[in-house]
Amino acid sequence: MTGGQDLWPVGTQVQWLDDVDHSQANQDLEQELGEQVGRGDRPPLVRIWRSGGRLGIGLSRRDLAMGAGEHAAAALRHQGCDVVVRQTGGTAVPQGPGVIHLSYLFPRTRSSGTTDGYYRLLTAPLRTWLHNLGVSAVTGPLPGSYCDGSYNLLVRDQKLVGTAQAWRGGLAGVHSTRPGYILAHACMTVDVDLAWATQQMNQFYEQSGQPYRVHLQTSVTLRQVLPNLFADKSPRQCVDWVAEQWLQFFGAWVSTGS
Amino acid sequence: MSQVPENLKYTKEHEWVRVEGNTAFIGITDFAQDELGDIVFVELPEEGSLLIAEQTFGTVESVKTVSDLFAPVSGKVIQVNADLGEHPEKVNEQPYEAGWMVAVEMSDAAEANALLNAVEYQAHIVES
Repeated sequence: MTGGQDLWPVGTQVQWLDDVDHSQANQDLEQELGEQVGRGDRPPLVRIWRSGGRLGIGLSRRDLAMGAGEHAAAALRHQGCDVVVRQTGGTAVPQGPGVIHLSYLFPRTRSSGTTDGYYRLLTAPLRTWLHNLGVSAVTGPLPGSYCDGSYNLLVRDQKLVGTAQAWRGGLAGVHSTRPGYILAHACMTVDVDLAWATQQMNQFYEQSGQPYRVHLQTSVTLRQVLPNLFADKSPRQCVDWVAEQWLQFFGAWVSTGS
Repeated sequence: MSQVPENLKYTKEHEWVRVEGNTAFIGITDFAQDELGDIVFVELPEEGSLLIAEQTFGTVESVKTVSDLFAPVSGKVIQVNADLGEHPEKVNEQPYEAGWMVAVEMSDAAEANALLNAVEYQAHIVES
């Protein structure tokens, strides 16, 4: 199936759950919720959530471990940039009130599918949601974009959505006898100062001694794609609007399978 | 067809163990690295850390996906493959040789004896 609908667990719930006043706790909530799902203490979950209230960047553990990553992160924090650490893979991403997140938190099962399957499961409904707004989006890599990978969502050859995953309870894409959960995550730049965010990400890589660089022209925001939709709205108001839309859209998507 | 050397022990989670005296060298199998794709980062414990069998001891990252590694045996980490910091691709290229991850001084050798042998692991791959 195009969207890998066979991977949707029975009884999946869609909820808006965040803690925007505590950005790292907001990130860490992913693990707490995932562990509850993995133990069977909570139904499979589609979590819609907003970034913390301050502008910043989100790093992977690999970012921090390479070169002088910890030092570079501390330097950015000292300058007032909010730096959070996530559990999924990839590289740095923009964070702030104009970024919205979508996380699937599903239990591992005997046949948990592949990472490709979950990337498709994540991007297919987002493409449909954008299509309903008159926006054509495709998946693919975009060298030079932040946190580049094969399952970016691109609009007019610019990145609007980044994706990544974490598989707990064993290796990704293979059978595991242990309980655990699969986190498939997407973040969309709704209304972000991309120039500032790109500068912060590149400063991080420069100061940590890593060659990776992000090119500003590879990214786009939903506000830039749909300027009339968000007239007179603040970044937080734009994100709140998207979150409300996603609650309805994913509620219907989960209940019908498409 | 994945390589499954006869002289190693295996877990159902696709880790391998090579026992040399009371030392267990640990890595992930050829089947696992093939399923994961290009490995770009391996996060391992420090020397001196204590591993507990069936508990996580690190992570690997591929295709922007972080996965848990599980300890097949308990014991103290006496050596870490520092080469993987610069060259994580060795796990893909030589999973049973240059791609080993940690060496552990086992606290209970019976744990290694209880793992799957090569024939049992091959059957497990086919089943799963």
